[in-house]
Amino acid sequence: MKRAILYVIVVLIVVVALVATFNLRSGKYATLKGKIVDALSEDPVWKVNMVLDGKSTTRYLSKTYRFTGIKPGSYTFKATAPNYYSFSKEIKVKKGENILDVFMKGEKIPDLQGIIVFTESQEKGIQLEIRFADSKGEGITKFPRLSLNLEGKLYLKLGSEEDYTRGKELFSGSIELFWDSGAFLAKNKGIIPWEKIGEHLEIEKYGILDVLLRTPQGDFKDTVDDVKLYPEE
Amino acid sequence: MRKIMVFWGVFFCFLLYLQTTSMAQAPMMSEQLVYSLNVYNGKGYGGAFNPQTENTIYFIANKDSAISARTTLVYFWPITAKFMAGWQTLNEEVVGTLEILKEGKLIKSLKKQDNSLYYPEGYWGEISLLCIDEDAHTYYEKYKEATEEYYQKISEFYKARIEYRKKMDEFLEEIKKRREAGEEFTSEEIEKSIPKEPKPPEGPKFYTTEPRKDYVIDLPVGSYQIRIRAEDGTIIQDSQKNLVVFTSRRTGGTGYEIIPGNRWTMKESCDDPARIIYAAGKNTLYFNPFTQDEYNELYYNKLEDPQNPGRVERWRWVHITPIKDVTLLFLKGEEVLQRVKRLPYYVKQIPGPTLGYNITEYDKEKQPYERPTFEGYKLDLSSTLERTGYQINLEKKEGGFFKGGKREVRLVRKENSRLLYALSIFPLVIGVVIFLKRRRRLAP
Repeated sequence: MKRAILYVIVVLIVVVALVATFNLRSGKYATLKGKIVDALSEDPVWKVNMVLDGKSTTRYLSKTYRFTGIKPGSYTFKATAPNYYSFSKEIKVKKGENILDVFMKGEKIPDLQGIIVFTESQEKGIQLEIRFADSKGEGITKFPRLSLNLEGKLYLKLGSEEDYTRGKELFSGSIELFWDSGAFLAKNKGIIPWEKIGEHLEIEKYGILDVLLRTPQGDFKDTVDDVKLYPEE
Repeated sequence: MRKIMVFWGVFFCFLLYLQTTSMAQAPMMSEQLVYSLNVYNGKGYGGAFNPQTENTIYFIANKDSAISARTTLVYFWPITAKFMAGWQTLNEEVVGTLEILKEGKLIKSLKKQDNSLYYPEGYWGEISLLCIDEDAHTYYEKYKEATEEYYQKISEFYKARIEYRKKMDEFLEEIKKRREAGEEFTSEEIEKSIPKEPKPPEGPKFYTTEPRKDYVIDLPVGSYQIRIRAEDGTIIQDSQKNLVVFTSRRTGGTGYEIIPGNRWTMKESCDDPARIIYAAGKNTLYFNPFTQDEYNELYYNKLEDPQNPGRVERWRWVHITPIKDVTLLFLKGEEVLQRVKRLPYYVKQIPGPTLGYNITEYDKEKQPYERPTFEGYKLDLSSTLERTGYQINLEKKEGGFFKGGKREVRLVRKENSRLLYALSIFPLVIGVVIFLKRRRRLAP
């Protein structure tokens, strides 16, 4: 009998504790949290401002957000960030924890006036680094990932360093772009694999690369006249 | 039996679950809205930051304190067990109006104001003042002008020193020539005609920080709430904090900071008049008397750094201003044994492999390029003094004693220390005796 009473007491304590912890966590208010990232790169969105239920929050380097103390109900969740399309969604917030992941679509690269391309001849091929320049001629550092199209033509460089001409065409076509989140300026990068360059490569041979970048803001051209046609050590 | 074991197993697993859920998870690096504080602490202004983990900000009543919200990266620093702000990685201003509420009602809406800190005795001095609006710019401009003037004087000093060295070489050459020619001089004659070395200019004695924009808060004692309303009318998430505005319980006390001569960096304090100052053997003590106010320990600790611990039921004395125009008396009963004046001292590290330092009286003439390490009332305690019956007190310039300045001094000496060694060995001796006795008993 005594043992049975003990068991009942222990079970009661467990139930009370479970109920108490559940209640403490949920409360009468709701929490909304989730991811807020660039739709293409999944990078943090610089200065993204979110509004919900008369509250707002701004994120700079974080990929997550959190609203607390929201009264359960229906709301319009709005997110705006410089150079991104605004995001708006009708949501129903329930008591406790709610999750909403937001993928912001990039709109434009701010004050884009031109591109500067650098090349690096690596083991896999010629890597291109695309930097965006603004009206002051300075590099643009904070911009969304946009769908861009890169085309290039690579020629053998003939003549001296000062006085040269385009020789045989080694490559012509589109170059696949990839995103480098860790880069400060050249987040857009591309690579021309060695196997696509139809020439037996020799040390000390240089090429001229004409690049055309198609963006929603227009086409931009640049030429690199010292492309090493051999992998650098 | 098996059922019981299963039951208790489940019960302990449940306890473990409860324990893990209650444990605080320290984030490695998180983006947070924090408050950057520049608070009046009873004697001047001190900076601190309030991370999200702290729900309450503490201010002293009826004094201006500056506060602003910033977004930064916060990380946990296990060495100090405190959250730190990575200002260099991210430091973005939170724009809006600061709202102050009392019992849920809005009582003030504040816009940011220009402010700067003015240190009349220099950055390391004991006084700092918060200058607001026009004053912030005026004092900063004054400091900039004084600094530019100093750089100008420094440039002139370097030129004058080059000139002096040139003249000195010419002078020595001339003396040499005249000596070789058989001319004789007295040292007074030489001293008269020797070129005078230029003195380096002194830098600005005061310092002013560059003006910045903060919310300046001045409130009476009470409990409040603060939050920031953005320009679009929304309340900024995580900007809500409790604000406790407090004041001192008692003011005008006298406390001492004591610098032991044999370990000068280990300063001690004797703030309560009932406390006794114990000095070990022959020693030199440097006393620094202060006026002091008594504050709630928790409130004041949190004012200095919102992450500091403290107990709400305890009180602490806080040194406010140094007491300078007095004479420290060392007394035995009514008899004055020493009268000590406040002097500046300089701590000089002993060069070479020998560790240690010497504390010497600072001489401005002999040490023009040095600054005194500290100021204080030096009291030399001889080993021949008796153990008890001594006091220190502060005598005012106009006569009479300074209120609350009396402290009892006792001297601790190593006496009959050998007896202590004998006492400590005693249990060991007993142990050995028992061990030997038992061994003998067990022996066949």
